[in-house]
Amino acid sequence: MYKLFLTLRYLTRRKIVIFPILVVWLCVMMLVIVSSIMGGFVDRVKETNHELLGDIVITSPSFAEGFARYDELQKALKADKELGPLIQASTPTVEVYGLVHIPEYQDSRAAVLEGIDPVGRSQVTKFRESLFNEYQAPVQAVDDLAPHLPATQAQLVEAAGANAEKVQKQFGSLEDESEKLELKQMTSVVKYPLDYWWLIAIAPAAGIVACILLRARRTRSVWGGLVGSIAGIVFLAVIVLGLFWPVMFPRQLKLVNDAADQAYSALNQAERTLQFAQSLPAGNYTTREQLAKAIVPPVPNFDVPAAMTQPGPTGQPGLPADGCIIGSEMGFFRRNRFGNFEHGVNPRYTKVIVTVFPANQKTGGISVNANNSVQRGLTMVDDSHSGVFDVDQMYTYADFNLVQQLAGLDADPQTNTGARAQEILIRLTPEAEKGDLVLVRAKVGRFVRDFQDAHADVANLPLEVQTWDEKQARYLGAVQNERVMVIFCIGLMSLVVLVVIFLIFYQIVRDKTRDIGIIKAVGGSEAGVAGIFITFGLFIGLVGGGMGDLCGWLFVTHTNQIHELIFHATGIVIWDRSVYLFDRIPDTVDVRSLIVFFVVAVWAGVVGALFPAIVASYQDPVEAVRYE
Amino acid sequence: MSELLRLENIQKTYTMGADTIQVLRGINFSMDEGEFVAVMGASGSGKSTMLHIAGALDRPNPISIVPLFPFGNIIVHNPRNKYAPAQSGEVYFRGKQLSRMSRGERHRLRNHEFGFVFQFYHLLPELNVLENVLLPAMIGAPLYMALFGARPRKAEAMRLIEAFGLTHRIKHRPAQLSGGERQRVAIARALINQPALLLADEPTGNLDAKTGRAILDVLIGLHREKKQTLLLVTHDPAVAKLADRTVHLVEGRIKEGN
Repeated sequence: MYKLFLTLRYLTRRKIVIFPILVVWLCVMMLVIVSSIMGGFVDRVKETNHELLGDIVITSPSFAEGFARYDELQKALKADKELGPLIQASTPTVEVYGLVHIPEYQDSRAAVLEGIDPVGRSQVTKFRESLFNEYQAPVQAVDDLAPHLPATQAQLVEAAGANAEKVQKQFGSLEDESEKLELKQMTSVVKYPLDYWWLIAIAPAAGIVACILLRARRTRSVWGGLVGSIAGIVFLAVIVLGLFWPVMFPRQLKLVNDAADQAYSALNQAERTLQFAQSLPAGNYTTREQLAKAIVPPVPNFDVPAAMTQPGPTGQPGLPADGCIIGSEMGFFRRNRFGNFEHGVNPRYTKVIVTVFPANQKTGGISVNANNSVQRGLTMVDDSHSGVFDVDQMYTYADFNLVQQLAGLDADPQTNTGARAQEILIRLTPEAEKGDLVLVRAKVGRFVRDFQDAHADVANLPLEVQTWDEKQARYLGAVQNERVMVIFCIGLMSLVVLVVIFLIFYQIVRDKTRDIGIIKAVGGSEAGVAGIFITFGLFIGLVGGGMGDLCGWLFVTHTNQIHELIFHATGIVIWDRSVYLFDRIPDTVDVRSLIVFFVVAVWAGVVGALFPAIVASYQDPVEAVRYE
Repeated sequence: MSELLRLENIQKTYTMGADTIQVLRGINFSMDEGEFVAVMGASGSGKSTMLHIAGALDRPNPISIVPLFPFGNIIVHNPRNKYAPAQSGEVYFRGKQLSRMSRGERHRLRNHEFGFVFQFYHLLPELNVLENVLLPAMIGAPLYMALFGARPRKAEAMRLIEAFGLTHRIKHRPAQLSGGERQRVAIARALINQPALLLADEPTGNLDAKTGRAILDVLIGLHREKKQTLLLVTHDPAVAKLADRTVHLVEGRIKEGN
């Protein structure tokens, strides 16, 4: 009993105890934050990659040549007794490298032109959800209009119109304010503090004067005291202003610009919502589902509105009839601080010229030269934001058959070769997805091998069958490694905790030599004395670990709010979403890491206290009680 | 009256650097239950050492020491007792050899049968008066009592505190008490488990004459009223006069006399 009692008394009545608790607390908090945020990134990267590829991917051994009978293979897989029920959907893809040029922007980008069937692709991946005009804008419009339900179409138009007007006013006033502030900053004396070095030079000079005159103040010289006080205040004020100027001065302008950015996005959305409301068939709308059905298109496509393909009134040519979808990170859309791409009110139909370099046997072999490049005009109908940066910055999507043709992978009656694809993406049923993916992959692999054995013309080499994470293993592995490395480094730093606990405990034991003697004199055993210090360490681990877990959890779950708070207080953007993959800082806490770090904290508390506890238990009580 | 404590041929040597100091050179001493014995002697004569050995806080010298240069000494253990080295002399408490007791038995003996009062009070600074008094009672008490906030022997502690006039100081910590009050708390702590033998090591040595006298009155009162056996170390002849018997320690040996 006395062990627990004395431990509690030492914990509550000795101030030095705060330090090991604080050290454990901060270390655990740091580990929880880093692990959760990094873990959040890894999970998000995995999730987006999974959403991008489906569950299983059949890949051609040769990128340039592709593989034939892809349609037959898909049908055979679906018809198979064992595999058919496991497969929800599959879709072929074909890719070719090239350049994308947008005449309107006079800008070109290296790109991969990927041929897809947009409907099939949307059944296998979250392609549809990645499209702005097709999905995100209408879904947002449904969200905006849903609070006004039930309503007639006219009422919805009225509500959307009122909102658009309100946002317009807001945006206008923010723009005015921004202009004023910009002008003020341009003409301000204190635009750049370093330009006014003399102002900063006053600080040390004032400090020196303050120090010299401090003596005069001590000797009760009224004038000396007064001048010294003024010099001291100037010294402090310049130091404080000098420290905060570069941060604080542009803060107001940043905040206004930021609010204007938000208002601009809101204005575009409000106007889009108004358009959607206006385009709704007249009638009564009662439920969200009814509204969504009327606004959100059922399937994605590459269709270009017929009006766009007609020559203009002044005789300029119309846009090409073949549509394409551009990756959102290809640089044609500005991304604001909140990670949103700024889209205009209307879908941006613009001409895109793609130049591709097919390099297969049909198009003249692997020697790529200008003679076998193919150029084609397309019309941008939408943009896709999958969340995988490498994909969004490189990929342009067009109709499967069109790209197959451009890549030279279409059927060739002269050589009697069939049309070819490069990949088949497979989505399993939700039940099969929950099971062992590797097992299904192995079964698909066997099936594909048998299929290839039966059809010699599929490909020269065996097709590769991989799960989505095997396909992206190198990329995902690198991200995972980064996480492990960061946690390892911080864990290494946390060894300091052990040393700190050890040192503080050792000091406590040294301080408590006499107490130990007394405890032994009144019947305390060696184990009892060691137990006091070990229990003490245990409590430090429990309290520090618990508080660290709690604060880490609170920090992580409020990361985005804290980030906004810092931005509003200082104008500093720590997490610039315009340059990151994700528009939110991951804010999900990994419960496993909470448990692991708590256990490690308790372990560190006990281990850190162990040696000092043993030293304490072997203290000679006679030596301890002999002297005061 | 029956014999409570007996020390037979106790020897104790301290090594301080290269020097070896033989403090006790074969002490033979015994005391009966209910007796008040004062131990006198000059500073450094070994009074406190004798008290510590008598109270199972220290041990006499191990006798079989084999020097094994350069690795130090090997202590040959008593073949009859795995717990302790063979000793130069023996302490008997109620006829039982202390050297034959296990560590646990010695801890229990210090906790239940002996009560120590030190010259420098030795109270735990983090605990208040009541908690300091209760400390020996808490040793050996089960864990659940701490968890439920129960205090073993609390009534006894309150009685002692009241008897020693410390009721108004019950929540005070040692730093807030005077020297006399601290020593009264230390005596209450020594008495909480109703020990058979109270060992007091110059309990008035750090106090002024008036406070010292008051403390002595407390101890003598305990001896006279409760028949408390008392072994008191002092170098003050006036204090020794109050004892039933006085033994003198001279050059590490006992010399009996009044």
